[in-house]
Amino acid sequence: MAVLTVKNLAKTFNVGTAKASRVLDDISFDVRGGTFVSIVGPSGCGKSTLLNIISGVEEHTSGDISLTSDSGGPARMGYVFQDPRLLPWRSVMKNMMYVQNDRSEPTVARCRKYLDMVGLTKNADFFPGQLSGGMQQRVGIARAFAVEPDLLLMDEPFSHLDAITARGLRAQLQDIWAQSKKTVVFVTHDVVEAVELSDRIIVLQPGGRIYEDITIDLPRPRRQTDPTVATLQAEVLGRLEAMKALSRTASEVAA
Amino acid sequence: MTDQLIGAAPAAPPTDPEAGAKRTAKRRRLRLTGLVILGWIALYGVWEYGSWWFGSRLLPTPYEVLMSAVEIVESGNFLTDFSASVLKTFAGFAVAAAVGAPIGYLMGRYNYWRAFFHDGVTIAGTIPAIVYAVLSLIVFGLSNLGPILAVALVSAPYIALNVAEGIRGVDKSLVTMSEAFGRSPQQIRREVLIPTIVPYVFAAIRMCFAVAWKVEALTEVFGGRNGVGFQIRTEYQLYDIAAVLAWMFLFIVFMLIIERLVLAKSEARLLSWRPQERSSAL
Repeated sequence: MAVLTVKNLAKTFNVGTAKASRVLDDISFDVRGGTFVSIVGPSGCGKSTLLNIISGVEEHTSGDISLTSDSGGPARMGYVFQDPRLLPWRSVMKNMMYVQNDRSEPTVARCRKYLDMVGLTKNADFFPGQLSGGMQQRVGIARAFAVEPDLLLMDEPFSHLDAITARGLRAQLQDIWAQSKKTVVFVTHDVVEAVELSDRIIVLQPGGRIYEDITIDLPRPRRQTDPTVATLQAEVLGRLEAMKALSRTASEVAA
Repeated sequence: MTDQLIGAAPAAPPTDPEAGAKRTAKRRRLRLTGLVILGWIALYGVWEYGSWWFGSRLLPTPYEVLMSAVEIVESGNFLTDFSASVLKTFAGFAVAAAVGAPIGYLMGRYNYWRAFFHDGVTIAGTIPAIVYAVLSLIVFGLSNLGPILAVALVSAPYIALNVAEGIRGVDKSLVTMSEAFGRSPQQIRREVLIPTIVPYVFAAIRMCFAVAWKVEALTEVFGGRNGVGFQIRTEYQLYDIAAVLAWMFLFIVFMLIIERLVLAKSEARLLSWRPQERSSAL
């Protein structure tokens, strides 16, 4: 059963003005429970806007989005942003608890469990300012998993980190995901990252339309050094290059 | 061969960076304390010399002032007049907060209200305190309301401007994060908005506090029926300079206690998450 269904979604900024611009156009896809879906595409193709619309932070112009929960109650969402977005005046543990709906013992235990999974148990009482950028982002990931979301949204969570830290966090994310099997929608402009992490890649093209929906059928855990992963990464990268060339030609013809 | 050489190299003495940082911080603190003590000794020396130069009738010695202060405390006047001044100052502060904080909130939150209040608040903040003191006496005459109004008029613009800056300093990305996790507006106010404006409110309180006491005492000098300012005027009329200075001395001691022990401590406690607060606590 699909956790997320997006149907004919469109988004136009500055509707009804001379500055009106359509960033998403006729987007339709669904995401089944327990799958890891990446949305890739060049800068400005509407990836983050799509994620903000799914999370409810931003309104859409037309189309439908439906989200179902396993429990039958209102669906819960977790969000990992590009930057950690932690409250600087609250300790790591209090940041984890801030997004929880209750203060019960099982909730506290769940927060501790995910903090342990990202290797920050000892830093539970630290303020975010006392942690490195990579550690703060790990808290952001643990916080999102700890709400036990029906859908976890991740918006380029490793783009602000150095390559080595990002690689470590990707491996850690794969481990946590393998254990929790949450439904994830992951936005990135990095195809290599998308192939390493995802079951499926939705490619958006400039103008905000879906160009291609690619299934990644590779065993897990995946590592960049694995030749099959590297081959598939090269193939997807090639398809993306072809899309860019096609978009360039189309815009030249239109001009 | 190389391995042996490395193995034979003398082990580096164990270094503990945290202990080193603590030692440096302790040395710095001792140096600063020494300078503060030196400053007080220099002040005492200048006062003694001035007293010798002008004569003790015109400028009593520190000892004479201290004795006069002891006399004031023992007579019981101190408690009555001081509590009167303190109550008036805090009442003025409360009025300023009640008026200034909502204005500051509106100025920080909405551009229209900012445009409406900005010039008025800026002008109110630049009017000299003495003008407020005189105005308050004209409006309320010889009553307790004069000093309260003067303190409120002086403090309100500071509070409004600082609260407005605090509200404008709220990190929008934290608000978006809270909304994405389904936090209620009440939770966002409590966990994001209020902690953001706390440092600004503290800055406003400390700034106002320094000015408010002076204005309150000044208003009492001009037209009070009790309080520290009233006593200073009375002693001045009796030409008892030692008593005038003693009242001033007691006044300063009380202010320092409030500033150093109450305001500074509670600020450090509330803002312990800031890196500069943590490093100063080392």
